[in-house]
Amino acid sequence: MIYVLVDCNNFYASCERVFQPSLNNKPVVVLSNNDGCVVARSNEAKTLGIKMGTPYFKHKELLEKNKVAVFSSNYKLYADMSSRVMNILSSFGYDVEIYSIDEAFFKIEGVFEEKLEKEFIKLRNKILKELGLPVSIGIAPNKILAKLANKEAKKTKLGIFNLCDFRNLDEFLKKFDVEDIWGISRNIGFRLKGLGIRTVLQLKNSDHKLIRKKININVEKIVLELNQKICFDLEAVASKKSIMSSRSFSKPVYKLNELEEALANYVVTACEKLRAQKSLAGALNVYLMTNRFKDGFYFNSINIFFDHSNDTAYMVKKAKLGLEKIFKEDLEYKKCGVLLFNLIDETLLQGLLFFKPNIRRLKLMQILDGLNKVHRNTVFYASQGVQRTWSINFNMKSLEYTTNWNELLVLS
Amino acid sequence: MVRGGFRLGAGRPKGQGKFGETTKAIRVPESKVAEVLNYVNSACYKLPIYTSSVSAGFPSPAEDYVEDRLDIGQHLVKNPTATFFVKVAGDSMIKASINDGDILVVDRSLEAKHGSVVIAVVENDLTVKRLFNKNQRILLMPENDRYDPIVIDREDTLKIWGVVTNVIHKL
Repeated sequence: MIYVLVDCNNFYASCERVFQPSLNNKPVVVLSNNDGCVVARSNEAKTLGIKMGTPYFKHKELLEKNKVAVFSSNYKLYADMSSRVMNILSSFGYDVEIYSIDEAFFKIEGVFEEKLEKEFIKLRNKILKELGLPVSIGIAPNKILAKLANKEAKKTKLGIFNLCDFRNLDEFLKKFDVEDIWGISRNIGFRLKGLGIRTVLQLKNSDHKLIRKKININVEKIVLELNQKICFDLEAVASKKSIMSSRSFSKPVYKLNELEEALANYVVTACEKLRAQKSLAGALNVYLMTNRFKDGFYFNSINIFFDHSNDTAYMVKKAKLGLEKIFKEDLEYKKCGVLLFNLIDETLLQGLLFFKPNIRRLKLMQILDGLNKVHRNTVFYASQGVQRTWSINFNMKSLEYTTNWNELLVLS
Repeated sequence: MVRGGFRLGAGRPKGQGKFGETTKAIRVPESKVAEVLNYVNSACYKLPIYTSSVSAGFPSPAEDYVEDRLDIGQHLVKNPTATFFVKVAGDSMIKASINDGDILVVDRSLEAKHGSVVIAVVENDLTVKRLFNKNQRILLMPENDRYDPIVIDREDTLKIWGVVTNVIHKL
């Protein structure tokens, strides 16, 4: 069995670059809702030391000094670009699991052959040409290793790295810290270090039964996967960035009401995961597809935005609305699913939950105005040109180039 | 112990059934089942396909297509995943009937050829021009005498963003 992880490099920042080529090779940063924290950075911004998740104002001076292009999140744009990426991945020809807004796992039966790597290089080139988005590809015998391979791929020129039949896996694993592994949080990393396990190689060589006892069964599975067993099939862990829930149907489904029922279940599952990780979602993506091996393959998805919530009933309603829009009669559906994204921690919204968006903005404006009185022209931001003063419509969002007729890219 | 998964050599060998080759299950309209079974069993190799129902064994000359109403989107956009819309400012392409305010349908999956109207990246800006690519000379040509062509010195400096397939002009 072969697992392949395809993910977009610095997704939000890369999306902005597609429509503003002047940002290529420059430091770019994208901020979360309310321009609170940094949620995406281009490689150049990473080099400057700008860390993920830090509040915007902490980096103010650094950003200004280095003329970093700063954007407010343009979720409609990112969600649309994501749909396009997933469309290309879904019609590639292998079983695919959309994992988050910019990542997907492929599951391929059989043994690794050179031609597979060539096929994936072609896929990468296709996405780069058709969408302008660079992706990285990690190939390995299981998901955990595929994630590591993907990390390594980002350092290569071709953007692809294969761990199947890898000559010296141990040498490779030595390079990574346990926290580099998907599914190992800082907390668990700390506990592992307490057991003397620091590198991924050390984790691989540890006694998995002891790990199960001292940490948890999930980390035990990680140890097993590092030893080339397969424990995580597609549809395993939720990511902090987004939550997926879907399933392939064992028998083809034709009717809307059956799809709605299945979808409702997936939304329920996703909301449970959402509440378990204490997040709120601000958008969801519904997708469905027919069997890719049959003629007339159909894949479609739709994004729906709403005020942040973790209310299952509310999201089931929204998901159903979305499904109605992309459903087509007389098709043999093989799979449908829901992806919750635009997640924020629920503590961030406590207190603001009951405020209407414009009041929230007003409060923010007041704070910013106060700041501006002390430090003038502090930050350089780049959307629709350079604006050096705070304007009433404080918004560094780029245009909704692909979802709004009034916000098309203008060129001459 | 690894359970499940693919094992080489497992399962019934292919080609053991009555047809002597791998078979595929397909869906057939109920009214056609007898006809299809007949064909399969008598091993003919050509089967006509009718888009309308056949009465008295005679295809309808009118061939009713009670299909979807004309969809302008489908007509203009062949590859939705790779298609984007941009708006034109200025008159640099006026002789190509591309005017200020027009919307261009841009397909990024197409190959730009000599003569294609393309969106190209020039000095970090996007611009619409006609591609001249012949006899080792590469130029981005405006379609207005008041503008100069842009010379591209090498093949690898040419950055094509997409190929324009249609212009939408509002009267």
